[in-house]
Amino acid sequence: MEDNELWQLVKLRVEEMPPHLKISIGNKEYDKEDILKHVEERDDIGKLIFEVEMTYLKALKTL
Amino acid sequence: MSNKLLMTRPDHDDTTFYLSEWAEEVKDIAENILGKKDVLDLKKERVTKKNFESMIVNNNPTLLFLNGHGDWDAVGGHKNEVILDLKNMQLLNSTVTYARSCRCAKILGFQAVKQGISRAFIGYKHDFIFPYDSRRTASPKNDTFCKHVLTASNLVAISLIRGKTPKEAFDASQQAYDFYIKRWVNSKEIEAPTILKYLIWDKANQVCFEN
Repeated sequence: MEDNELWQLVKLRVEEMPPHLKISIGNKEYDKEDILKHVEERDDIGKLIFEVEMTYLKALKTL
Repeated sequence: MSNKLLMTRPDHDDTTFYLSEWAEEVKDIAENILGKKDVLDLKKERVTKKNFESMIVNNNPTLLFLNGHGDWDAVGGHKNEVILDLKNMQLLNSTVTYARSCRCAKILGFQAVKQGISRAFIGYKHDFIFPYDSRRTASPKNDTFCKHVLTASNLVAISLIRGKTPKEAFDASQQAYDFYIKRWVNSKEIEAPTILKYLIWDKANQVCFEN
């Protein structure tokens, strides 16, 4: 899968997150909209979310 | 050395408040097993570098359970004041430390053990992340969405308090992560994918270094 396609996949998966959930990362907390912005920008938090999603998808193969 | 536990529990934001509240379970168990006088609970605005260093120097705890924000080479306290880093890691002399803080196992924990200072250091080599219910921030202990991530991570500290070796404590926590992963992988609840991915992430990044 192309890099851009993977990022698109990550974005789609984040979009499934319910609005009442927040995520604690480092010394900040993020809701779905925050995370989507970071994924769009592909900044440090976006890259972290990308890594989390890839780790998750790999793990699902063995579950 | 004493058989004392030193815990740090800052609670100046949502994240540290959640960690602090969930660490209460560990404190209760520790007081039952070790006795109240051997459980040193440094919390809230008292989690400063000065107090942390003083607690260790004056009490010689063998077990440390640190909660708070972290970085590759540091652990924070109240309002993220650095309480432990490479400059004062001699404080970890002969201790077993469990740091529930982002990243700090990667450099701080690794160096503390590699240089023969700590007996063991258990922590996370990347960000420690947990999901929570934004509608429950006033009562974290009732938040079912963070429950399994924080329960699995609590098990390191609880196992150490119960006399398990660092490796046994690490294994117990890893098994707990596996148990909760299996529970959520078959769940149809809308929160399940989010909870699952952070159980998997935290489990993958939890490490145990031991001398």
